[in-house]
Amino acid sequence: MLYDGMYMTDDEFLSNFRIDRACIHQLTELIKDDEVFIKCWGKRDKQPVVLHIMVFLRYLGSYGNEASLQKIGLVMGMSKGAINDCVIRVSQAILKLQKKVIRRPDEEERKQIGSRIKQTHGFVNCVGLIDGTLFHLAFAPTLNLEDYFMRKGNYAIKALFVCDDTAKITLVEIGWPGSMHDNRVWLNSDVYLAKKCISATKSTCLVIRHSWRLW
Amino acid sequence: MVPAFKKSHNAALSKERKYFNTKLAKVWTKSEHCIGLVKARFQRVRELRPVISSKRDLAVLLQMIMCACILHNLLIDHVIPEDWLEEQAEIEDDDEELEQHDNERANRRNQVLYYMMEMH
Repeated sequence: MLYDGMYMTDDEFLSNFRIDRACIHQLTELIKDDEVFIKCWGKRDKQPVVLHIMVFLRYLGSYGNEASLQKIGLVMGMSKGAINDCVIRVSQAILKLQKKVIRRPDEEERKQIGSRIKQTHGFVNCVGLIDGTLFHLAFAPTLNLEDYFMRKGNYAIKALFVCDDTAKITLVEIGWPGSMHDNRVWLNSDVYLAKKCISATKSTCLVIRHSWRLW
Repeated sequence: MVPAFKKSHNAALSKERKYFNTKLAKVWTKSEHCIGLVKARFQRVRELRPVISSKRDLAVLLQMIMCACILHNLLIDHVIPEDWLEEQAEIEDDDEELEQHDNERANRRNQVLYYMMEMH
C-alpha cells in the first residue's frame, strides 16, 4: 500500500492517511528507535514501524463510524486487537516527543515571530495568538456529566491553544471540562500561574478574543 | 495580553477603536486557522466517540488529542488540501460578564492602539 502507486495513487493515499508518502518515512525515522517497538524476548515479532504509523494515522484521520477499530482492521488487514496495540504503541512513542515539539519559543524565535506579526498585522511585541476550542463528545460521559455540558447544548472537552503566526502550536492546555469559560481555563493554566510567581516580563504579549480578562 | 474593545450598551465604538478591532480580528483568524488545521487533518478529534466513564478513559482521550497536536507541529510544512478545510465558524457570544479591567492592563491596550495609530 505504501509503495505501490498502481494500487493506491498519491491522492488516494493522502486522503486515506491524511499525509503523503514521504512524510510517513520522515515520521518513521523520528520514532523508529523507540523502545515500544523493540521485540520482547520470547514473544512474536512486532509489526514493522511503518505499518504501526500507518495504522495510527488511519486511526486519527477517520471520522464517525469509519473510525471504529473493526473498520480500520478491515482496511489494514489486521485484527481489532492488533490495531489497538499499534495505536497504543505509537501514541506512547509520539508523546515522548511532546517536550521537543510543543515548547515555548526561545528568545531568538520570539524576536522573529514578533517582527513577522508586526510587519503583517501591525501589532508590536506580540509572540502568540491564543484561542480556546472545544472537542465535542459524541456521547454524554457517565462520570460527572454535568461538568462537560457546555453552552452550545452538548458535551465537550475544552482546550486552549497558543500558536504563532505560522500556525505552529507553542502551548496547549487540554482536558478541562466543557462548561468552563476560556478565560477560566487560562487563569488556571500552568503558564499563567507560573508567570504570576515570577512577575511577568512585560516585553511580550498575546493577542486574544474579546471577553477575556486582561493579563 | 491584548483583547478587543467591547461595545458598551449605549454608545457605539469610536472609529479608532473599530480600526483596532478589525486589525485584531485579522490576527485571530490565524489562531482559528491553527485549530482548524488540526481538526481538518485529524478528523477523529472533531468528534470524540468514546464514552468517558472513568479517569482512565479521559486520560486516553487527552493523549490522543495531544498526539494530534504533536503531529500537527511536525507536519506544519506540509500543506493541507483546501477541500479538507470547512468553515467551522465558532460563534462567540458576548454574554460573559468579565468587566474586571485593571487600569494597568487597559493601559497596555491603549498603548498598542496609539502605537498603531502612529504607524497608520
